[in-house]
Amino acid sequence: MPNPLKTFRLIRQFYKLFALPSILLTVILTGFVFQYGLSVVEVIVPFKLITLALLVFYVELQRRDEFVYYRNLGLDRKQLWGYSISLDLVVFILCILMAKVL
Amino acid sequence: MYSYGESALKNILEADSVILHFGLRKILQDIYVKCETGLGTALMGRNGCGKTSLLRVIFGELGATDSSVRINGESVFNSKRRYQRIKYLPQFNFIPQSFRVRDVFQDFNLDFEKFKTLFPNAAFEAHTRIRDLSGGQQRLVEAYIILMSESEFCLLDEPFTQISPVDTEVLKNLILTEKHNKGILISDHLYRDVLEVCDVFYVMNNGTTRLRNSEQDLINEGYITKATRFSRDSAGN
Repeated sequence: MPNPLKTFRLIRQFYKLFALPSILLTVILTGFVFQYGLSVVEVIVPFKLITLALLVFYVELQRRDEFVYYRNLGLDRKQLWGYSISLDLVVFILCILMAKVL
Repeated sequence: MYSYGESALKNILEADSVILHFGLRKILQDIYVKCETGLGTALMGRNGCGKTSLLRVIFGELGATDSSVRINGESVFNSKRRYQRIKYLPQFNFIPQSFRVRDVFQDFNLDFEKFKTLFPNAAFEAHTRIRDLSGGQQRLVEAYIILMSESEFCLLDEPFTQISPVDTEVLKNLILTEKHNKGILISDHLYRDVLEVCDVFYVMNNGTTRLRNSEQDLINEGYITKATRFSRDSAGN
C-alpha cells in the first residue's frame, strides 16, 4: 500500500465517484430523523444500505476499467470499497447522531 | 531484491501452471513465461489466443483455476506488495477521465516536465483533464506512467497502439533504457516494434506458450506470413 497521505488522497478520489448521491441521501434521511425522531431509524438504515449497494453496483458496472489505475498504485478493489464505504457510513452515523442530539 | 534507481539487481518473474477456463472453453494451459531485469520479453500470438488473459492473471486482475506466479522464486499471490512490484498497462484506457494530467503524474511520482521534454509534440498541459486528451495522447500518458514509475516488472498490453510513429520511437527508446531497471513483458501486434525492443519471444497458440528465437519462427508458428514480412520490408525501404 502507498504512504498514508497518498492512500487517503486515492480513497478520496475514488469516493468522489458516488459521494454526491450518497451524501445527498444521507442529508435527506437525517432530515427525517430530525423531523420524526429515532423511530424512523429502522426504516432509513435498510434504505441507506440498499441505496449504497445500488451505488456500488453502478460504479462496478460503469467504472470497472478504472480499478486498474488504483491497483497499479497499490490499492485493490476490496481496499477501495472497504475504506470508502466505511467513510460513507461514518458520515451517515454521525449525521443521525447529530440529528438526535439537536 | 528491489533496487530501483540504483544499479538494478536482477529480478526474475515466472508464471507457470496457469489453467484458465471461460465456461467450458479452456483459455490457458501449459504456460511458462519468464521475464527478467535487463531483458525485454515479448508475448505474441493471434487474437484470442490468451495473451491478455495471461497478463491479467500475472497482475492478479484475473483469477485462474490454477496458477503459479513467482518473483525470485517466491509466490506473489499473498504478497501485499504485489501491485507495487508489478505494474500493468491494460489494452483499454484505465485512468479516470475526470483526473487532471498533473494528478496522474503526482500519483505515480513522475515529473510532467520530463515527459514534455521527451514528447515535445504532446500538445497538452499539466492541468488538462484526461477526458480532453485524444485517444493517442491518453495512450501515451498511460504507457509512460506504467513504464516509468517504480516497479520491478511492467506488463505492457499493446503499448504502441494509437501512438504516432514519432512518439513510438521515443517510447521504444524508453523501453530500451528502462529494461535495465526492470523486467518488461510486452504484447503487441505491431511485432516489428516489439522485436526491436525485446530479447526473448514467446509465441502463444491454443493457450500454450513456446519460446522462439527469430522472425522466421513467427512465420513457422503462423503468427505472421512471408507476405507480411515482405510487405513490411518493402514499406521500410
